[in-house]
Amino acid sequence: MNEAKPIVTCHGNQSLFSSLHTAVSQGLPKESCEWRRSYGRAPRSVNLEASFVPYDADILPDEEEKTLVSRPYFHIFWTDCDLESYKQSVKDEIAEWQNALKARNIPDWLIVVVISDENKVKAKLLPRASVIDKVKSDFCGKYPERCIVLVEPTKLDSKSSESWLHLFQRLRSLLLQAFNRHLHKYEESMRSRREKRNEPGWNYFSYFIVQEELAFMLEMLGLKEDALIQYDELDAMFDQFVENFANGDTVKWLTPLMEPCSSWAGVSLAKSLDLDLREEVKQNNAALLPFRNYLFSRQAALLFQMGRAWEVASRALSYLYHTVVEMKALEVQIPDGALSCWVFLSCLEVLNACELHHGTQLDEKFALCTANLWDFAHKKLRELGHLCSLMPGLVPTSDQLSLVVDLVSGMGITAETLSPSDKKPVDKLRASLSSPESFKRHYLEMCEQAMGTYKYIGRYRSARMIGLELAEFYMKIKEPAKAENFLLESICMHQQEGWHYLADGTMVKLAKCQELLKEPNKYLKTCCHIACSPHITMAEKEKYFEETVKTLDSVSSDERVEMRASQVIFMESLELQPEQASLNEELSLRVCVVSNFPRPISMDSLKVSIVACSENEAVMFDQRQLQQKQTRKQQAEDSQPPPAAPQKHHRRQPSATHITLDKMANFSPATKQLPDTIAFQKTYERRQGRLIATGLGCEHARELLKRTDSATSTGSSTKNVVRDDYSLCFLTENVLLEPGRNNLTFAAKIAAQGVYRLNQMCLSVKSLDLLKPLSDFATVFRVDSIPSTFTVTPKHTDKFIAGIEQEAVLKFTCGSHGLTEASALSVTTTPYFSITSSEEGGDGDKGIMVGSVGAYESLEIPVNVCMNLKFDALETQMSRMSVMVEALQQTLEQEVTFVHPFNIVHKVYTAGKQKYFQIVVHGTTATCFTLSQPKLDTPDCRDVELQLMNKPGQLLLVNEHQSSSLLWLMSSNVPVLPALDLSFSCCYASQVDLSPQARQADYSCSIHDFQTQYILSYAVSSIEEDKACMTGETAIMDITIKQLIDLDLTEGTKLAYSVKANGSVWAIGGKTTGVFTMKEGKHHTVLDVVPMQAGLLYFPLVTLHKYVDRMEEQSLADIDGCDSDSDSAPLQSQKLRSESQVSSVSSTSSAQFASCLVEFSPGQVYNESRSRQIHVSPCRTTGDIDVSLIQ
Amino acid sequence: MAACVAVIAKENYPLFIKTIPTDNELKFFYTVHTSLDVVEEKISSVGKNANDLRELYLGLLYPTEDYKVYGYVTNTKVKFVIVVDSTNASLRDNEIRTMFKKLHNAYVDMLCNPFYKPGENITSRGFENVVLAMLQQD
Repeated sequence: MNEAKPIVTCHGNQSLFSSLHTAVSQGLPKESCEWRRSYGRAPRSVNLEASFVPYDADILPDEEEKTLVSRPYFHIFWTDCDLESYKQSVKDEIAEWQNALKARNIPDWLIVVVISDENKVKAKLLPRASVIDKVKSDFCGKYPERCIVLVEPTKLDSKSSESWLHLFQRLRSLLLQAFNRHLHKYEESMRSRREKRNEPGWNYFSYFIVQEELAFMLEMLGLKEDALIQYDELDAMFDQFVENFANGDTVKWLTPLMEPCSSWAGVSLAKSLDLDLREEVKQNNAALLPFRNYLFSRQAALLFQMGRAWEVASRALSYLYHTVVEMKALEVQIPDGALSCWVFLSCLEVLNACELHHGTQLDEKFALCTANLWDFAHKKLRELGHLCSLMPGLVPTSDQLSLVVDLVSGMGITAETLSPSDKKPVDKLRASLSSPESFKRHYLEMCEQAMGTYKYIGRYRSARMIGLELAEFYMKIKEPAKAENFLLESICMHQQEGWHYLADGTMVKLAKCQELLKEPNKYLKTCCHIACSPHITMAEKEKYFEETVKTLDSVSSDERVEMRASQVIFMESLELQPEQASLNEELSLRVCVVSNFPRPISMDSLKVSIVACSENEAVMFDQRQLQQKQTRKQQAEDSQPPPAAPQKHHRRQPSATHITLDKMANFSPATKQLPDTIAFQKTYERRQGRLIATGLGCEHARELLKRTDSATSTGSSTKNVVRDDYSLCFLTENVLLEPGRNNLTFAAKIAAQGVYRLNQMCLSVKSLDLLKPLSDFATVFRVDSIPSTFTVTPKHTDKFIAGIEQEAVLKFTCGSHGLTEASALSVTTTPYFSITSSEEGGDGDKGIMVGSVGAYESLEIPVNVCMNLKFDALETQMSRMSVMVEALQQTLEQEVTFVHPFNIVHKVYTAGKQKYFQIVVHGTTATCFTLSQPKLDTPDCRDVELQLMNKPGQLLLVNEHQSSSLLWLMSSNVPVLPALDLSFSCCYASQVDLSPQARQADYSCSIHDFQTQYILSYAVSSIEEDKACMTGETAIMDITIKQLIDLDLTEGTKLAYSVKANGSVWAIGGKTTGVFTMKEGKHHTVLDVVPMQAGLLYFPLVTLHKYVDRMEEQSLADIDGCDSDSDSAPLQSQKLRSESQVSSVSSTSSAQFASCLVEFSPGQVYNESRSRQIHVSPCRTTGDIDVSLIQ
Repeated sequence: MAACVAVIAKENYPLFIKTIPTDNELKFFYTVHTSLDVVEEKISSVGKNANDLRELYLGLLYPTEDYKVYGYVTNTKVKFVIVVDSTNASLRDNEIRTMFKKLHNAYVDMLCNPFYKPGENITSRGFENVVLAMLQQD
């Protein structure tokens, strides 16, 4: 049909035209012209072509004739005559021609006047004289455009080419006009026919031929696109009819299509127009398949012409599917397999044609469409294979064999298609069906082809599907080795993409394959996997569980089979107790495991490997621990809730996320695992002290909220699990793993300190090791070494008491390292401190022998502890001891605190000249001590005699609630005593003390300046003798100072007295202080005093001081300094002195004077009148005197 | 109406698959899985001109003899696949579109549940009911 061109008739001078024919037919299509069309259709540019035929009045079409293609559209009259011949003959000729055209109502004509001699034209001055003018005036009065001049067509000058151009332009536009007119008319009638499609008696196929005519016409005009549209419209219309038919709307013309199908020849794309077929269609004789074949072949032809071979392929698929559906819809009877044959043949035909038209460039777009075709074809072949028992393992029955014959006969094999080459689809199919061997060859070839194309365009999933089919096929032809690879590939992909249902379904096939392969190791793994799959029926699971157990028995035990346990078990929880362990301590790991086995299985051993963390991890662990501790502390602090107090860390409950994680063993999900804690920052915004805004911000929000790209996650998800080193592991043995949840407890001891984490779990059954990586759980724990310690505690008392030998217990607590063998503990102590074993006689050097002690066990050794008393001012005494443990090569040090059992103080008492020395023993512990044989000595002085005032044999008991006091009378033979050193000793004993003999306690002290130098006495009496004092009346205070011994032996010692009294009690007249010198050992002073109150009043207090000249001030300070030293009761003396100082200041207005007074040491001045009182009577007068009674 | 409805996560693992009761459920699984090839193809071909407002409905992914497979991709690249019987001619593009719209709405409703974690298998009964209605409607 390609060659078909619109027909143009030529009349007039035939020889002239034949000379110009080539020029015209070639020149016409050189340039395109725009074709504007009605109904708002887009204008098209068309390259017009025409085939020129000689005019014959007989071929002129009737107006009623509805043909388009074979109709002569245009009529040209050619003439090159001169005026003479025109007048003679040509004019009549034209007139006759015109009349003939007019009779048929054909307005499409053109008269071409060819002028060979230009000069002639030019020479003529009168316009009406030329042929052209004549023609115009005679014929083209109404249509001046229908006459055109062609000047010297054979020449090549510009004039000639210009006139050619004119001719073509005119011809084109007129041709288009003609076409337009015809097409318009045609379309009108076609439309009206279409409108009648629902009327009875309407025939689709007659309409088909009409619209196809239009398509031919458009194709003829080069408008392939529009031509295709016509076919597509027809196609759609047919679909609609079939659909309506399926819905019960029967039409008569469809009946021939529904007749039992006897031919299933595939579509043939070899010819662009199959006229035989068209005739059949025209006659409404064609069955559905041939009609469809015809329609598609036309569409394909147009597409090929347009260079859209890929579209043929893409349309082919829907065409095939569609037709198959239509066959069903129309309920066409067809032998089994015939449709498959048709599809297969058509597929291959399309593919061949595409390849032919597409040439060598196999681009992706093309492959995209062909891939499906290949796939479809191979599926059909497989169907046929099953149908005719050509698949391996099937034996064709005689029925099937005759079916093959039937099928082959229906393929439309003609003599011309019977070629020896295997190229034709028919040959291929016939060969395939001829024998199982060639079927196998062809089937594999098709599979490869389809798979290859899919892979080429990146449709891996589809390719794997075919792979699965291939695997099945290989299994049938007993080549499991080939099948295995395909299965594995497919499983791998399904697992990676998380389609476990599919993966596990394929796994069952793999198991069958591996069983055939006799590879027990692989088979074992696969069986195990299937047995645990949640996507497989229970019966199948149990079957494979049994297989697993059976295979386990057959696998040689020295060969370990390793396998990921992710399918077999899920970890529900994992708890390590404690997180911070010590060396050799029993660590316990509690794991909740969900077993997916359908039945209980007994595991030989379950292990959890422990690996040492890298330094980084260790540091991180420590930090986290610290942080947790802090938050815990903080939480405790915050527990009394300040309601608005924001917590620094938001603790996120893991909410069992790891379980879901775990289930997607080979697939890391896109949702990132969030950390346990998220650090927040709180912000407050205040204005003028008022809170106006608060906020909570997260610094790492970007990081936390970042999307994880799925592309990376799908890529490297399947890591190979390698069996860990299980030399250090948690272990339980002989565990029966029930289906479902199992609580397991593991135990381990770790012999080196450090930070560890759990790395992998290994479940062993016979030779199978199920490995489960645990690194995701991030279970980290620290193992510390705990050193051995010992303590010494007294047995009977709460504290050690110095000075006695006590029973005590030495408690030796072994740390992380136990004592494996008996070892000696050698104890060394500081001086005065001894520890001896109480069991033996106790050779201290050898130390104490101890037997073996386990880690964290303790051993109690009874010992005797003795600290020799050595009195210090301190009440407690620290002492050190160290224990050397020989087996551990370790020396342990320990401080021991001793308490002194009692505290001894001394004091000197004075009574006039007499001196008494007192020793008081205060107990400091609850332990009761018995004192005996108190002894006081003055070792350096023999002039003093000490006489114990206590009852002889008095029981002296001392404890913390009871003190003992001892008093001695001191009498001396000499008047002046030097400073005395006194040493006190007594024996003490206690029940706690081990030794029966009493021990001796010593106390030494020295006293000086204790002898009485002056006796001070004073008395207050009324002025009148024998009369009571009266308030307000002056009384006399008589002060007498007697010197007993003169230590300084100087006559002129200046002394000073001072009188002090409460101003409201006594008013003192005269000098309250006075300096004096003793004369003959005596001094006497009288003062006036007035009692202000009535009652029993104490005398005013008189004190005596040494008076030092101002010159001696310097030395005074020295005396002051040494004062405290010499004092026996320093505290008391200090108190006294400060009082005296105060008093001296208050009583003396002159500070200078006060500074000149130096106190005597206590005992040197004896105040006889201290504490004496006088009775003062109230005043007898009636004056206003307040009376107050003082108790 | 539909023979199989599937929701597939961005990473191409299935979130939800429901088929009409059939012996050969696996076949639908394979079909849906294979259709992902085409879905990915379509998504990537659109992705090139990024500013295009992407049409969520992908149309007919591929026909098979028995079934037609239609696809739909949400903006978060969650894929919906609906498989319909190819003999059912009453299902035109528009009907399929409405089905997808309904499915999308149900999915969004389901996703609004704060207890559902995106990426987990869909167990919502409400969602399942919507899907079941699609499968049964005839």
